[in-house]
Amino acid sequence: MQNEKIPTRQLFGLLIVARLSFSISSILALHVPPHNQDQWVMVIVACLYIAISSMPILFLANRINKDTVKGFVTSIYGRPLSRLMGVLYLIYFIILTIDAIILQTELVTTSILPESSNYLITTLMLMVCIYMTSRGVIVILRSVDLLIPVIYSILFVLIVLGINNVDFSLFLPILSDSTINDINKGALILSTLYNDIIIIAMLVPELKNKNISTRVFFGSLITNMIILNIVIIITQGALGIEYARHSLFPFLIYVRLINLARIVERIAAVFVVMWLLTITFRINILLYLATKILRDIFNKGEDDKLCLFIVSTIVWIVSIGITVMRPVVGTRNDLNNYLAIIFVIYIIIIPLITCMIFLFRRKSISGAKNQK
Amino acid sequence: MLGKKGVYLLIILISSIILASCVGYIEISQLAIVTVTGIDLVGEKVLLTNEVIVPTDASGQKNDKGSSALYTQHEGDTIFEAIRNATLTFDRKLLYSHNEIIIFGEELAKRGIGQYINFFLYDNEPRESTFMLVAKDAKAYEVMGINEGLSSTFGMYLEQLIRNHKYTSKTRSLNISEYIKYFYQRKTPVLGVVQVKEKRIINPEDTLKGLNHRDVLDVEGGAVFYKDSLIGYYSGEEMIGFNFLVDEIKNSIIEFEVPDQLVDNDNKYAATKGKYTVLEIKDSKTKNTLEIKDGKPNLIIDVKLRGVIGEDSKGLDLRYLNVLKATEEACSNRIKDIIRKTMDKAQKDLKVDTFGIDTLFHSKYPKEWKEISNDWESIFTEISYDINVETYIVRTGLLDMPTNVEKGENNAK
Amino acid sequence: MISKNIMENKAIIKEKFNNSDDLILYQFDTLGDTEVLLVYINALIDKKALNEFVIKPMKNNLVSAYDIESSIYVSEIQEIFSINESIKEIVDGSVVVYIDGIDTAYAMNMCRYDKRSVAESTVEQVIRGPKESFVEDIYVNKSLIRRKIRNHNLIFEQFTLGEMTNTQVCIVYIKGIVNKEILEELKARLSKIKTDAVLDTSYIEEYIDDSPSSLVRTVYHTEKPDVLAGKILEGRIGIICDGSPSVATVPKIFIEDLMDPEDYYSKPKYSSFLRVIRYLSFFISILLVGSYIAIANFHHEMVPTQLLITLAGQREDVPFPSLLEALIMILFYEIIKEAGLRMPKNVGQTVTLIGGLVIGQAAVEAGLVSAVMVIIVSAAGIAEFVIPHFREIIVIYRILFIILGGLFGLFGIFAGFAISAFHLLSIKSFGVPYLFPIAPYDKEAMQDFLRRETIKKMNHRPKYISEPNSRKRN
Repeated sequence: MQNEKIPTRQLFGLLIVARLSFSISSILALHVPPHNQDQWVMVIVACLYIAISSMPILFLANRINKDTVKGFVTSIYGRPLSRLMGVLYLIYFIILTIDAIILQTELVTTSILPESSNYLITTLMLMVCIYMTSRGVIVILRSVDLLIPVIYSILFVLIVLGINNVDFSLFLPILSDSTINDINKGALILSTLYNDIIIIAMLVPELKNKNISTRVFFGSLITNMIILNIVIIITQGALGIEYARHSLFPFLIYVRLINLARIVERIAAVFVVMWLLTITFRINILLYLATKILRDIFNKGEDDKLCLFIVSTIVWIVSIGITVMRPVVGTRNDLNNYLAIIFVIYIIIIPLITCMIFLFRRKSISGAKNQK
Repeated sequence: MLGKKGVYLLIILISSIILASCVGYIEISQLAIVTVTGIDLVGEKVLLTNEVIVPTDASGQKNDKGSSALYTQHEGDTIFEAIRNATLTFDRKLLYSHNEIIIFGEELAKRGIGQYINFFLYDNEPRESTFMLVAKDAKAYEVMGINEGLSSTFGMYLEQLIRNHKYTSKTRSLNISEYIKYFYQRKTPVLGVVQVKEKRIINPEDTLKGLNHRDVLDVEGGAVFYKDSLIGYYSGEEMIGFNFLVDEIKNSIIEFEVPDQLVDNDNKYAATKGKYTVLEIKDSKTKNTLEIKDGKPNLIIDVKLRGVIGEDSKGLDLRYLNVLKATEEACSNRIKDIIRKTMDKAQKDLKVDTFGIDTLFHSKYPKEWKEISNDWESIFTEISYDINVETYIVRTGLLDMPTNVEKGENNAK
Repeated sequence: MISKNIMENKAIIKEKFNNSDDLILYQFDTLGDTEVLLVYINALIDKKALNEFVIKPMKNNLVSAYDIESSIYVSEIQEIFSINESIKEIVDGSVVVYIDGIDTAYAMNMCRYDKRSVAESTVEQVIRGPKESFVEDIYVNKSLIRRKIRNHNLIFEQFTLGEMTNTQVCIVYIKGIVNKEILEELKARLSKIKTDAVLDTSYIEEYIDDSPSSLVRTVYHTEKPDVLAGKILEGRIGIICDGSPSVATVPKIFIEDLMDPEDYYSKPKYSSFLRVIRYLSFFISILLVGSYIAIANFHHEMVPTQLLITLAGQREDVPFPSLLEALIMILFYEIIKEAGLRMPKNVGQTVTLIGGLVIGQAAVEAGLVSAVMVIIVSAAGIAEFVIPHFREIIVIYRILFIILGGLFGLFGIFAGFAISAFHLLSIKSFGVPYLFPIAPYDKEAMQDFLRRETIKKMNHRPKYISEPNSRKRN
């Protein structure tokens, strides 16, 4: 029982919950072209782009199988270069963690605790996440089993309670108002934020069944997009297309509009608590992966707390530095360009290079393994 | 002795009370609950009138009606400044999260309300489901403070009036989120109105006090906006037509006159007096379709409703199907009249499309829409329309014949 | 070594026992003129039986020292070869016979002392179902278990723990159902115990607990043989300790504390409903006060308008901030509760009366606390008694959640919830995850979780806890 492995179910749940934290907060899919009732078509198109852009890592993930990630990368790049790779991806995961932490701080401070300082909220949230992460990856994944029913039942109830505000009479027919170009553009922007594949790849060695990365990836992609589409359609229906487009947290407004017999009203705080649970999953797993890379670089064991401390201190300092200076969700447009560039580098270019080296050196790699 | 954790716990315990104040911890007793906001213009400044609940009175300890709320007024260039200025003259922080109604003074409504509702959407506190009303022929603060209902404050009284709109359909409830929804897409929202009316003195105590009348609130009618400024009003009857057109009829009633020959059908019975028959609507569905005929848009309004005869003084003998059918037809004709009147008012008087026909056009003819969208209001005034109403009487109440009829000459049976 | 000389033995024993007054050393000659020494502790022995079945036959019949086993009428007799062993037997309540001329002593178990008779449990009460409960005596307890499970695979394994007390501790399990890994682990942990005293099962619990610093108990304890039998039949291991009526079982998972023996004696649907009530009570007793503080001070918009006005009216004259108010109320609640528990029964009622009157009514009337707070705190207090096993967690966590809710509103409640959830998730009891059937999720074990399936349909023994792949019926 010491070497517990992660069942497929838990990984699948984690991917969905972690993505849900974006799907129901600042819904990027509502802020990209075509800006009308055809967003859901755009989301479906985006699936295609996401599938294509994730191919290189997916290919690699299927090759990791028996190895640890570290061993795999070392076998391709050799020791010194693989260290560099580690540092690069450490930075990537830290950026992603900071992104999630900042989103969390902004949503909490704008919705339920407007008087509190960003400083305090960021710190408390990070403390919670550090505690959770320190319990280890098995526990993080195990918590999926406990919390998914809670999260999903609350989400379902919220959607059902607000459904009578939804009014499709203002919608125009499909594709009457948008061009293929617009939809493509939106889909491209949207696809540059879907980086779940890297989480799968990093977790492959921990899985009970190691040959499922492809299935889990596509399954979670489709499920996530269906959930996203449901959220998009109901928020657009309830708020109107323009209001949904211009509000920073459209689903929050959807929840605020809920009114059941004048007793259950303004339950935004319940929604925020539920949402916080989803974002902790995201922060936890990213923080864990960043820590794991750092541990691998320094050859430390699973229980090493120092690496976690270093990573979280960096995250803490940077995210506080940003949150006390700039709004992030409001200025997403510019920020997304940077994130897109980072995405292209980390999810497409570097893995592609890795793939090529892997294919070239395949024989020597497998030969080296056989010798061992 | 306590151990490390115990010490931490103690520190947390002690610091909790000190820290609490810097995180936004606000006791309920430090807040003033605002239930109605009135917005007026004084010169270029905003005059904000708030109804604030006095908690001890409202919780039922002192049941002296009229004193359970008080009214505060503040000025500022913007709404937010006015609210913050409130702290200069009023001792508690105003809590807007229970604000149910915003009343706009007529003057302000004519100048445009758009810039004054932003605060309510930017800030976290106010709710998106706040009702919006226009004070007809008055400043907002002039209608505030009148409570002739059973509710303990003016705000609750007015809110209840708005929420009862479905019984008459002579008014409308529109909240901020719906306003925003319609405003972006239709540009011509219709808000509810509120005005002061006189009520005769009934209570002898009032006569002793020397009052001639008391004031009541009346929410009949609707305020028509183009873009964000008030351009006119619908009367109560026109609001019924309006509600038919936008499909928001619920439980209202229709009064109509049945043709005379129907009553004297076979000379059995004759009504002594009375003119009207009343139908209580159980449910109603309106479907608007637009089509371009010979280059001109033509609107077809299909209304289907089911209702119950609630009152009849004309003497209908509803045992006969043909009488029932004729009654249904009479009702349909009446509804057509009402709708026609509203359409006339919109096309000839107000000259704006308040019914969302532009959305219909847009969704059906997206290409043509791009050419004419800027010119829509003038096209709307020229638009031709057909009205089809189908009424189904599903029940006739407990009687098949009113009490004010006498037996005629040829008594059957 | 036992000396052949009886006088020598006598001297050694006397010295070992420091001339304690209750030690009886009775020396006499048998029929064959062999000198015999009986040693026992006065209060522990059934004297009638001793006279009748040991002394009488010895005096009348015993000729040769080697015939002793055939001449006396005692079933439990055992040869002893060392003084230390004999001392242990004497302490345990045996009569030890030293015979002149041979270096073997005989220990006869003739233990008899006053013990509580088997009665109805005062702690775990049921309306239907077996009412008997364990007593302090380990032999009686063993017999109670044996009577429940009449199977040769039921195994008792004896340990002696406590360097001073020499307490008998016994583990009980069923071979074939018990998970061998867990059994080995338990034995290893028991053998590591180094303590001078074991006065109750809880002493052992603390030594074998997976998370001694946590408030969560990872060892279950019960006073009812039927509950224990049920646990053993699911593959758990019972730990009986002499002198304690509560029997511990391992491994323990979270939901065991929310179950009740009566769940299995009532209709499944009704017991499922009761379980929902218990789960609700668990959350109410921990979260209610904290959430109220959070909502009333941070999220005013969530309270319906009318209710908010009422609350505001009530709080108008209260001098304390509601966080402090809640803490004071909880403090006094705990004091009253503790007083009620510790008081003699007839005084207890007075405590309740004074507590209810003073803290409740008078405080509200004097305007020191708001009436809502009294309602909220007492609702949380009542809910606590539905699930007595969780008292420790509830009392402490409730205070923590009040502070968190008062500091950060629902965000604080979330933080507390997340941390405690992860704490529970990370705990294991003998390798079994504490939140077992939920996380990691297990479909079969969920049959007996929130909803109790009919006994007919519960075919599987819980994974991890019992022997892998074992089924109740085939």
